[in-house]
Amino acid sequence: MQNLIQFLIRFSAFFLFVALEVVCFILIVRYNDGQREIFLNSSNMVSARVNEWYDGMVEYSNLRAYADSLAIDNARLKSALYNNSNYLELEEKEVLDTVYRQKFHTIRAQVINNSVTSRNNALTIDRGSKDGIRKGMGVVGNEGIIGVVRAVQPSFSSVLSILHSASRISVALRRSHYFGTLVWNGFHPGKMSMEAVPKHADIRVGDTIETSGYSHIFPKGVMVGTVDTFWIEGGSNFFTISVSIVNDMSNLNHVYVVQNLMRPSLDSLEQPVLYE
Amino acid sequence: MNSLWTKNLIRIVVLILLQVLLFKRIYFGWENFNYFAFLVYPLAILLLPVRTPRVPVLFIGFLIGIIVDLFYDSPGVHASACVFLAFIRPYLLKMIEPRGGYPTQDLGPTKRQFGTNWFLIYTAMGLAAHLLVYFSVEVFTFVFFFEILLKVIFSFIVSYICILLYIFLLNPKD
Repeated sequence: MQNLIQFLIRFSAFFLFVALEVVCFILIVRYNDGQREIFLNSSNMVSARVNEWYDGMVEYSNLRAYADSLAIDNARLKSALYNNSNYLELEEKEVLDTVYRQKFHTIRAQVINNSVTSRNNALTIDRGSKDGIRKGMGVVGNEGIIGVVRAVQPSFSSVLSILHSASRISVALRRSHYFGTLVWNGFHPGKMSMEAVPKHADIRVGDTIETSGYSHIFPKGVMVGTVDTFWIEGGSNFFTISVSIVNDMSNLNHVYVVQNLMRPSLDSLEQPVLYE
Repeated sequence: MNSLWTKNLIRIVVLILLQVLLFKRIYFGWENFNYFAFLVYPLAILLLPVRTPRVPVLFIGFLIGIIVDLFYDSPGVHASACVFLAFIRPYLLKMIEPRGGYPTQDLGPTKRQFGTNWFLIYTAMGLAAHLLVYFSVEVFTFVFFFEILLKVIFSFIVSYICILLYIFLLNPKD
């Protein structure tokens, strides 16, 4: 017994090392489940506050660039609005407004923490449950898509970036309407792959890739990127498409959280079918 | 003794803040080539006083790692690399022990105490070990061995430059 105790004391550092490493690996593996990371993710109040404070300082020096980008965005929206009103005047008066029930609602938010260099990236935005944000909503930028809300606190939310190993976005080719899954293989933040596109699909280099709208997270037709190259993996029946994404994930400031107002009814329709 | 630990505590806080507020945000790389990560906080573990017992070093390493993880959104990854570095630190120190051993009074393993050559070797070995464990654990599989190696090499170069800048600018006594 005494020998055992002496042995334990003698190698206490080694045992502590093993114990701490085990703790670390439990944390890593639990995190990969993607469910229980809330207690340690950066929505965590302390790091979110520190990041917000720092961003507040840095943002001031970048005001001009932000103002410019917002002005450009405004101009684009205005032109869309004017074109639209022109078009509406031509429409027949009999069409009832209720035909165009609003399907999507957007909430403006600001990115206060972001990463692109790890294998699993996430970002934090300064809006939370009290601004109407719920788990599972999509996040888009001025151009392109950013990710999906994975955890919500009263005033902050954590967003699973599209540059994350667990991210799977349903996308489609704009020209030929074939759909597939957008994933990230972890090497370059501007390159993603679209997988599971059937072998007979008509694809050309430069084709636009947009969201398919099948997951009810993003609206249909948001531009995601363009086809770079495509090939068939040996032994596979599906194309893999290398996609250049349209937005720069390493330079995000204002983003928009998209709420699908019809999602509850769509889910209640599709959920029972899934379990049949 | 006390001022020694106050200095170390301040250094730990400063290095963590530098890491999560400045170095984390640096995005450096180009098309199909982003193997650069700037990791400077291992210096906080390397510069703990030479005669610190092994158990506290392990705990301090774990704490530093967990705090950095909070900001990197990667619970456990930085912590496991830090614990590993804290564990091998005594062996590193022993491997390059100066002739006549370390002085009896407690002091930090700095450039000013033990000379530039000694310090360069010590930090290089520590940093390389830390980066190797960090990237292996981050990817969590050895399928990408070549990518891990590239990441270690290129991150080592940029991190080492940052660490040397820190040391040569401030040149701490302990």
